[in-house]
Amino acid sequence: MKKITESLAYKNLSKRPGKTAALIVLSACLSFSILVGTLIVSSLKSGLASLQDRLGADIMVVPYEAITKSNLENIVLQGNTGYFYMDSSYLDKIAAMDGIGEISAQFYLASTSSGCCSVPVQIIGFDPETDFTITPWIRKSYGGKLQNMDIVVGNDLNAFVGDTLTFYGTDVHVAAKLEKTGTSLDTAVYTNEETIKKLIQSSLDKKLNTFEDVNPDHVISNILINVADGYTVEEVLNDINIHVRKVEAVRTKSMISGIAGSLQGVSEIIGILAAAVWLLAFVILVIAFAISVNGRRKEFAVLRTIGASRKKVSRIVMTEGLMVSVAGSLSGVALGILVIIPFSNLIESQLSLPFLLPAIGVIAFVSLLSFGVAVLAGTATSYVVGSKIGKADAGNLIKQDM
Amino acid sequence: MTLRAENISRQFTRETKNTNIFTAVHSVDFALREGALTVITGRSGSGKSTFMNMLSGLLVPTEGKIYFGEEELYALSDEKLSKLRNEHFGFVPQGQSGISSLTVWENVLLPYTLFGDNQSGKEYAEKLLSLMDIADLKNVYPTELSGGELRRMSIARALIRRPQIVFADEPTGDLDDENTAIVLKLFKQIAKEGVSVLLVTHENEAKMYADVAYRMSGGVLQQEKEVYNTEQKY
Repeated sequence: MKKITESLAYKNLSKRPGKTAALIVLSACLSFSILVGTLIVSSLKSGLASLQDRLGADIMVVPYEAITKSNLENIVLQGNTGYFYMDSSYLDKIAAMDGIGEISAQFYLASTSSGCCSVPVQIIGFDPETDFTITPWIRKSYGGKLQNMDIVVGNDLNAFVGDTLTFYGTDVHVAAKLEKTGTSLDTAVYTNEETIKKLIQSSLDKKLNTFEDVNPDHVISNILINVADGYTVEEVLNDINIHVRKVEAVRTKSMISGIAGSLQGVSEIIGILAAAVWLLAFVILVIAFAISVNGRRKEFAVLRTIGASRKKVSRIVMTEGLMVSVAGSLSGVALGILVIIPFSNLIESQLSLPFLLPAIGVIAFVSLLSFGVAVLAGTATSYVVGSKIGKADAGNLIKQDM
Repeated sequence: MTLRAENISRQFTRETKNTNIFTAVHSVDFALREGALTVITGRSGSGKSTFMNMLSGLLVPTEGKIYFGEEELYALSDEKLSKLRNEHFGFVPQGQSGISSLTVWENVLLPYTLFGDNQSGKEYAEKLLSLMDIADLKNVYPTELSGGELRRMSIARALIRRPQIVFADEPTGDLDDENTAIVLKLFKQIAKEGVSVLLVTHENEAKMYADVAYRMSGGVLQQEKEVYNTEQKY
């Protein structure tokens, strides 16, 4: 048997669909703002952490022109296509210096339009023997060893394992698709040193590479370094910049600091906006709920005249609040998930910042938390309003509403 | 069981001037005659509704005590007093008093369903609705009823648990002459069936139906000498 508090509360709400819908929307705003605010901020932080992981080196050494032409960060962090080369002898020279722990070279090449991509993609070559940044990431999706003319594609590219793509007239085979990082790295293609050298040669053969006098066997694009124990990044960085000419050693953290700063700013703005929306929705919810209940003071007084105790009247009001809160909070969470998950790529491109959604378990937890907080806020509101109406003398309520 | 008040008063603090305390009811002793229609008349603001609310267990007197039989009403917990109201008192509030989300049928049965009893009273409810001439409106919501129909629905709801006492506050306040006569005759009929009825109104016409009549003025209750009720008037 349905209890009278529940059935009467339900009927009170369903008989006033407009007012009830307004309360549900306000309640939905509570859970939506918490969920979306938390997920966006958390995704930005995850994106930055992911970018730091992927760069995964203390120092990046690039040809000086990569710095002067200001395209280094665009290529490395923003996913813009481009390339620059330096002589591969720099690798041996720097590797022989003090304080070098891990060291590996990478090769950049920008493709022209290919079947996979509506726009040219950045092709990054690495040496599987020495690489310590891309290989750990590839291992999460692909256990095998990359063969000659194999490539691994970023998660955002429209290419799948087994596909054959053509770059500069050369066919390559998609061996794996990487996990999403939420960064510009998701739009790049990765391959081993041998393959990228062939691709660079193909681009030269077709005269599509602006570096016409490049010998693919003797060039690299950058050198990634992790400093050895007992040395500071600063010491090694200065040593390279002082003793190796025509190159620039850059601290990778400083490359990311601009993004980290933007992310901090955007996170704060989103946090403040979410808090403001939450607070505004909460205040309006309190007022709207109080108005809705106060408009029916006479009805609650009538319930008292026919034997409803103060507690029962309060309980009916609280049940109404709970029903509205549960319905609204569930809607808010559902809407939040519908906005965040399918549109994460759009949000990423609009914010121009690394954006990596947390794991499903974390999303579920945040959803539950947002739901709980919104229900708690709605229930607290109805508790205050319900207690007030319950405590009022029925005799006075009837007189006030004459 | 008798309902009696001993020296009850009620004071209010005006909300806009919270130092201004006024007395709505002054030290009233009263006993409700059983099985009779008692009518209290008085001008608006005379204290009659406040007096009735105190008697019906809805408003705590500032001073004095009210007994229902041997039970002191306001010594009971709110739960017990509410249950007592539900089982022994029927109340017809002033103005429109339908629960708008419930149909006429659900409104009338509410004194039962409020305590989880979804079975009792249905047969009697049918009878009451017929008696009130609103049987064909049982599935209609209060917003669709006229003032007279709403009032009759309130009366049916007040009677559904066969109470010992029925309180009616201005039950004819917004009714036309025809509906006023119908409602007053109904109360008279109820009283004849053994229910004690206390009716407060500013309309002197009600006194024509009264077994006992009082007048309230400035919070002071005085019994009127003349007893108006005569059977041949109906």
